[in-house]
Amino acid sequence: MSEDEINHIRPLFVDGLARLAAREHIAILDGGTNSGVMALTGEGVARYGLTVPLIGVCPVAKVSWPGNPNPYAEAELEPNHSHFVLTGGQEFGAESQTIYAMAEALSKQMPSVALVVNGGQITYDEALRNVEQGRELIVFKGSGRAADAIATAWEKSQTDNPCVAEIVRRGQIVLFDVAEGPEELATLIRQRLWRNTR
Amino acid sequence: MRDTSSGHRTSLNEEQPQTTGAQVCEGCKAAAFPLRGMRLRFCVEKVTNRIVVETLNFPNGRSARAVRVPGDADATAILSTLALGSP
Repeated sequence: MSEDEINHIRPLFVDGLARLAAREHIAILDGGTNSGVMALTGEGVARYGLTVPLIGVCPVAKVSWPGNPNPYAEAELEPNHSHFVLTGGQEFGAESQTIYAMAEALSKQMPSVALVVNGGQITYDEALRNVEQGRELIVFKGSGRAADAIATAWEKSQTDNPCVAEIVRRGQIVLFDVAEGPEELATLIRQRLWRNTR
Repeated sequence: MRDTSSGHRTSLNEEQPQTTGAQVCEGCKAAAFPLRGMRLRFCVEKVTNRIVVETLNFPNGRSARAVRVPGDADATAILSTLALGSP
């Protein structure tokens, strides 16, 4: 994501997601690197505190952290996460199987929802994994790339991308416009998480 | 003895006295949790899931609990090892 794109959505993740997670004890599972929305979530945790785990999952071959320099790293670990799961594999995307095995195990105990923001091919694959696990997608319309492709396909009921078509055909999708504010995002996440449990 | 993902060899010596709780790998110095009654020398390998546990310390003063796992590690074992609960 570009610096402008990051700055545009910063309030949504810092003052929206992270604050909500701290207030309502919502655990977050993400890619764990100090980039994109994961860095923003970490920034929010630093501001609002952490009441439940913030778990990052990524391939150990592609990341570095203090005391563990890695010449092949493409990203550093985000320093506000409480837990990391460092998987095998030589490329980003290798961790997807582990992330979704964990998501499936956790969602047997608690309600869950997936946020789709920007992203590329790995995001399509992971969106489909969420669909296969019956997890609702909140797709950030206006965040760019994969998220916008899914949002457009959802609104127009057409796409040339077979993976997107499958996501739209089988998925439970809610669009969130990034022009809205952090309170609107928090309200939406709260509604989608608790609608079947309260 | 089997190779672990960390490159260290697992060595669980059943002749050692009963031990529990975290111990430290003699190789990489990471904290690890051997099976009950086993004394750890090098990075832990659980019976069915090779999971190495360590604490990562960051310059901002925070620390994180981390596990290194193979791609086929069982999710329940990961969550349990992270002390996040066992579904």
